Order: sequence, then C-alpha cells, then structure tokens
Amino acid sequence: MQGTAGENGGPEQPGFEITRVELPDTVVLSLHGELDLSCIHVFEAAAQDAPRTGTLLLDLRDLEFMDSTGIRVIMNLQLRADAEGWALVLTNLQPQVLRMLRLCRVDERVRIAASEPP
Amino acid sequence: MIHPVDEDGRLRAVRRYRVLDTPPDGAFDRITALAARHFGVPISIVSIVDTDRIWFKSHHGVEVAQVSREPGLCASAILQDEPWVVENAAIDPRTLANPLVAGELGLRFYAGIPLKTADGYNLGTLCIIDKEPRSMSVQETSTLSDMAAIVMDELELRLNARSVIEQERQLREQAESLARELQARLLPPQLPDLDGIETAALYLPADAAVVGGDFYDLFAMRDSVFLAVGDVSGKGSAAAAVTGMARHTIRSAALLADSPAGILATLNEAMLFGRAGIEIEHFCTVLLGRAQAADGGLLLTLSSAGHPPAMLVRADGTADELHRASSPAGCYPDASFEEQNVLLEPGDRLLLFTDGLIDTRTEDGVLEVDGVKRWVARAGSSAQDLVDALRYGLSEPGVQVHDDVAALALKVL
Repeated sequence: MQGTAGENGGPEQPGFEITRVELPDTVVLSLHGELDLSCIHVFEAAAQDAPRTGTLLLDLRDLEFMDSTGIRVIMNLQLRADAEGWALVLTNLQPQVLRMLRLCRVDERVRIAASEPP
Repeated sequence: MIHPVDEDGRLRAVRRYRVLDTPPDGAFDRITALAARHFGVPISIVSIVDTDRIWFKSHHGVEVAQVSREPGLCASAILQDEPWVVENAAIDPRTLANPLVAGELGLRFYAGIPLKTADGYNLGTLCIIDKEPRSMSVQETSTLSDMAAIVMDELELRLNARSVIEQERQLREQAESLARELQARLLPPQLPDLDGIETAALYLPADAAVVGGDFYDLFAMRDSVFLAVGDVSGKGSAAAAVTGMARHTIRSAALLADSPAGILATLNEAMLFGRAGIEIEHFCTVLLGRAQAADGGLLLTLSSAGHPPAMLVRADGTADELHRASSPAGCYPDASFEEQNVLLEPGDRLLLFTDGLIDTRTEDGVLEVDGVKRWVARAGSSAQDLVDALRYGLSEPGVQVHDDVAALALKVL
C-alpha cells in the first residue's frame, strides 16, 4: 500500500506515504510525511484494507504532521476494531501528533504502545 | 440591397456563430486551397454575408478581405438554397452590373454553395471564381457542395466548442456563487454591537471556490453573550450542510440551556442522531464561551469540544492558553464536556480560532499555539488589532495556509 499526495500540494510539500508490512497476526502500517486533507484518501484507503483480525499497528515514527482529518480516520479505525474484535495500536508518536490526539482525548480511547528507539 | 425573407433571423444566426472578423483559420484556408486546386480556378472564398458587407473567412487567390454587399454573386447566392452558378458574368443579366465583374477584377465565372445552418439560414458561401468563363458539371457541383458541407461542419464544431466552454464557465460561476452564498450563511452578516465589549472577526478561506467547515458566531441571549468558533471536518457542500446545522443547534440549545458544556452535549447528541453505521463521517470541534457581567468585568465560562485552545491576552500583554480537552462533537455518545471559569478584567482580550491557524506552515515549521502567541505579542490593544495581527502574520512571505482560518476576538471595555 503506497501512495503520495503531490498533486494537491506544491513541490515544497514533503508529501505523504504509507508502507505496509505483514507479520504473523499483525499488520504494520508505517505513515511517512505530513497528513492533511489533501492526502487523507491515501490513509482512508489503507484503513479500509485493515485486517479484520489480530492487530493493526500504526507506526507514526515518520509522521511529522497530522491535522484533524487524520484524527477522524484513527477514530473510525478504533470504532471498527471495537465492533469487529481486533486491536488497534499506535506507536512512536511525534509531539505534534500526540498533541492532536490529546486535544480530542483520542489518546484515552486508543492503545498507545511505548515508543521504540529509532 | 436584396435580402432574404427573414434577414433579421439570418443576421442573428451569423452573430451566433461569432465568425465575423476572426483571425485566419488553417482549416478554412485548407478547404479554399483544395477547392481552387481541384477545380483549377485562381480564386476560392469562404464568405459570410453581414448586414452591408461580405466578409471573407478565407480568401484563396485574392487579397481583399471583404467587399460590399452588391447583388449578383455571394449576396445573391444566399437568397436561395441551390448552388448559384454564373458561367459568364459579363453577359449574365444577374451579374453584369456587379463591380467585381464590370470593374478592374473582371470576374467571369462564379459558383457558390450556400453555407446553410441546421435551422435553415444561409450564413454565406463557399465559392470558386475564375477570370475566364467556364461551366460546372453536375458532378463538380456535387463536389463543391460536399466541400461547403465540410466548411459548415467546421463552423458547427467551433460553435459547439465555444458553447461547451461557455457552459463550463457558467457552471463554474454558479458553483462559486453557491459556495459564496453557503459560506455567507455560515457566518453572521455582521457582529452585533454589545454593551461593554468590543469584538472583531476574521474569516480567510484557503480556496474561495470551496466551502469550508469553519464558522464563528456571536449572540446575546438573556443576560449573557455567547461566542463560538467551530470547524466541521471535511470540505464542500456536505461539510457546509453540517456546519449550518451545528451553528443553528448551538443557538437553539442556548435558548434552552445556559451552560456551555450542556449546549455542547446537545450538539453532540444532535450530530450523532441518525448516524448510519458505526463510522464518523463529519465531526465538529467547537470552542463555546458564555460571558456575563461580574465584578466590573466579565465572567467567562468556556467549554471545548476537541477544539484548539483559546488565547487569553491580559491587559498587561501576557498571553495564556485556556483549554480543556474533550472529544469533538459528533463522535461518541459518552463524550463529556468540561467547563472552566475565568474572570476577564477591563482591557483583557480573548481570542478564539480554528486549527487552520495553528496548522499554518512558517519558515520555522508548523505555527502551533506558541507561534500564535508570538504574533499576538506584537498586536495593538484593541480586539481588531488581535485579528489584524493574525491577518498580517498569515500574509507574511514564507507562510503557507493549507486550511480555512476563522478567528473571533473579544475585548472587555
């Protein structure tokens, strides 16, 4: 699962990309770059393909920015995980992303795993 | 001058094709060159008959670009639907007086096919001309008619292309005016004049043609003034519809309840009402304040639904964030909204804004609330000064705004 969002932003925009790794019982989606309205469809498409069992791990180590549209996708992933009985885990949150989650108190509704050293 | 029966209608048709006085066009020039070569004549013309002149869209073998509307040649050819053939103009009573025949040019042979529109008007002709008398076979007349039909096809193509472009332009203008209309209804037409406070607002759409979800509102009710800034997720007409609903729900809820947290709880319920499926389509972040006169100043009760902090700028210039985290409205049935109370003294100012402001990119990275503090620190002392400081900051070189920005400022007098 890969995608970029160059067409809506200027050349100075770092863009947004998702890489997917499948481990036994866990799918890891690593988000890279900056996530806003212009590239939210990339994240939404990846979220639609989320597994219906096991664990979905969102590695946000390289997610430098996320606006409120990204929060909505994470909220919906958690609602689906609760309804379908699988687990959503976020890890390696950058300060701005963590602030966004706290602002909406989503940090209380999703599991945030301890960050691993890079 | 000789005229067809419905000359007014014919002239309207000529205007509709908007071909008069247009620059040369390769397609028509190729047809006249082809006709001249095929029939072995020196001159071939695509003519359009105007009110009092005959204008040449393409003229092969002759320099003049238009002639007067004298009877005999093109002007007569458009009077009927058949090919107009003059084998020897010098002896033909229809043409012998025509200046092009009698004069220096001394034309002798003319064959013109009317360029007939779908609604039956002859715009002009495709004609071939020789300085020697000659005749036209039935087959040759039929070939020239086919070439005239190609000219007409080209004219139709251009008319259609123009009308498609025109339709697209009209659609775009309609969409833009609808967007502006919707947006105008999401914002108060003007801020009300309220005793004891001064207010100012800012609304900067990232894209004027796309309706955003940002809104602000300010209204007096009973002994209170309510102020709100909100942002519905997403863009476009669907987000705009939710935005209108959110703003009116806040006003309606304020009629029935006094507490900002209670009003946000009502908004949350209203947005969740009738949700299809488990997923959140639109949510709304809101910062809602109620101000009441107290102790020579204003008692502010503030409640947030997942919205960025408010900024309290004291009379001495110190700036503090006012914030209680909570879920945005429209996400969770079990969301709870907290309140915080602050006493505003005369000279104190309050600034509410949407996340488009703090998400703004500057040369030093994302602006964040700290960046807003820096911008506010250099503002003058009025409510308008606060808003102007934001407007100025957003217009600085190197600053990129990716989202709509709405802001509302209040000063205690």
